[in-house]
Amino acid sequence: MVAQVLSQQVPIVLNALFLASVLFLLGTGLSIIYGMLNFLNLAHAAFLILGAYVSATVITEVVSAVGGTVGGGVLLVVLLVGLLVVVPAIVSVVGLTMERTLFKPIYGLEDDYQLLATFGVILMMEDGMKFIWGGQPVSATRPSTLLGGVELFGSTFPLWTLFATGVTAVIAATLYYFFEETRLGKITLAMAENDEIVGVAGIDTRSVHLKVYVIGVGLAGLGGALYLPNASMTTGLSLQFVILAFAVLVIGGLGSLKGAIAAALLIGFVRSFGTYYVPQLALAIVFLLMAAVMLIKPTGLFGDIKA
Amino acid sequence: MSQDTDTGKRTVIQDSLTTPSGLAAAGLVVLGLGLPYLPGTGQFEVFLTAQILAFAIAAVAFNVLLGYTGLLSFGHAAFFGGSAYAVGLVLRYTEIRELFVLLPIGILAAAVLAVIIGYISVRHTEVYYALLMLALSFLLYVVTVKLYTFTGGTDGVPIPSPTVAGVDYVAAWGYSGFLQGVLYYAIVLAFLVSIALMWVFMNSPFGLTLKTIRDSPDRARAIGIPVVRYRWYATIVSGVFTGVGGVMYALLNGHVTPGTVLHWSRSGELAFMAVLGGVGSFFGPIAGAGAFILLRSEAQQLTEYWHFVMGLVLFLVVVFEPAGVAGLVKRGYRKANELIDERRRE
Repeated sequence: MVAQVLSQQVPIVLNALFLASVLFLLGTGLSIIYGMLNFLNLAHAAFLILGAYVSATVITEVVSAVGGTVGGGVLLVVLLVGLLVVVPAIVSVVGLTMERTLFKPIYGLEDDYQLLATFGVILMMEDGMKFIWGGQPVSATRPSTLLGGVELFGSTFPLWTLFATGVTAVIAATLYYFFEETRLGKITLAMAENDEIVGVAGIDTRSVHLKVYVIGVGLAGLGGALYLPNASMTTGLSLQFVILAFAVLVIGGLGSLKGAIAAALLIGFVRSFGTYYVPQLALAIVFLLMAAVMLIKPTGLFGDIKA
Repeated sequence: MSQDTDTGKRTVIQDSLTTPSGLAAAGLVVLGLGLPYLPGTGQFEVFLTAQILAFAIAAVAFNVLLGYTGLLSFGHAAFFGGSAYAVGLVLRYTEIRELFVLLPIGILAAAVLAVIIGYISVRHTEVYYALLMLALSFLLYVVTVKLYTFTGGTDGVPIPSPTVAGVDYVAAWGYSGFLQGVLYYAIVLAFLVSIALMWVFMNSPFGLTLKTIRDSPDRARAIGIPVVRYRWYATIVSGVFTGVGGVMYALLNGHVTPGTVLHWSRSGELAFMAVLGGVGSFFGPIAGAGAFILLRSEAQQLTEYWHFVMGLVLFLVVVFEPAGVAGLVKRGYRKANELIDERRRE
């Protein structure tokens, strides 16, 4: 009886953790870039989609190049390096190029106009990805199947979900260390308060800005890389991720790491259990939750910055 | 007070009718009314113009919020699609086929949605307002897609041509005759009435109050304006007229799906039209709607990746010409005047 309940509930919990991981990586990047660099990028979620598409190409290429010649263990290691290092790096380079050309001219605009301009950027990025990868959904499950599953309570669960959650936990800890302990992290926090004063203190704020921006974009790319082996991706999903990313930011509170973790977990669990019990309305519940938090506690669960 | 404002209004109307732009507008109205009878215009041109007018109503309504109240909404698809769907569902589940019954139903649906969504969203401003609108309108989209047994899901609902004042013109004149002889004029009329009403609203004390709030919410609050409530009213006015546009679009298109009327990209398009036309000007968004539809139909013929083209145009407009077409025209007008002055001096 207990085993039966567990075998039913555990996959939902694992799925919730997996979703929460991806949402954390997406939302925290957005939160850093908006909260600390004061740049509101509606197109941020498109970097997650880009990360997933690049991952699909990386996985396919690696498998076709060395898949037949090396053992499963070696192949898995190569794939993981590709997903965890190469993909975020590629996405960061694309993000950096876009920062130089598209985003820099709109930093001075009001938030509303940044939203409009980056709405235009989403349209461009979606079609750009459609041009390169075609309009069909992509999927590449090899890393997940290589990693295999674990047998619990009489059914098998993919280990990839646990792996993704583990990676995200490490990232969250690293980010916490970054902001609390490192010089660059402290400068970033100071810039969030007042970047002019930081500049006057002799710090190259533009260089800090770029570094923090790359971290944010890279995290979204990593989110895409972790997402893909477990699910398929299309450009049509970008809006869902745009809203979910903002939901993380709004529910958790602007610029709060703790808030982003809590919000990602909350949304992950609501979404996962919702999908299981009320599949029609799972997504709707998330948006209702977001609206409810904005009405009851406008600064978010952990935010103290005034909305 | 009423007599003063009446005389004031009459002078304003007289003044604006005798200016070049007033005359141009009057000429456009005449051209619009005569369009189906012009040589060389067929069903396609009439359809395209009607489509522009339907969107122009919504774009001007959108600008009531963005330009006059200073609120960017990313959720106007809820009002546009809500009214379109109200019409579609009434046609699907009842025997009602009358335009003069369908239109008020659509407007009522948009009004109800605007009252509810607005009430929640105006608790916030700026980005948070935009995002709340986005989330709530996406909610409507998701619910419409998921409750497919009632709403038809992603397939949408067909909108059969309505009767007008009890007469079934499609049966009498065929679809082409109905479009060019009845539906087109219904849309032109809806456009003129909506634009006139919104113009009166925006030039009334109500409109001035909204502008005060846009320019400085804190000062508006200080002189005793209930800021949040007025933002709510503005959202409702904007939503209702967006609904008029939605009903006209639905009747013209003959079919609505969640993807075409409720999807967030529709909200984005309305924002696009307003910005393209110029949010600082009342009539700008009309030009924006026209420019948008023409540009899109050109881009669609040119390339499969027309979204890219539209995205690029939006981006460039926001960065380089935030005042939109209206800004360009104003600047051109000023330049021309300067040139004339220079010539005279020489």
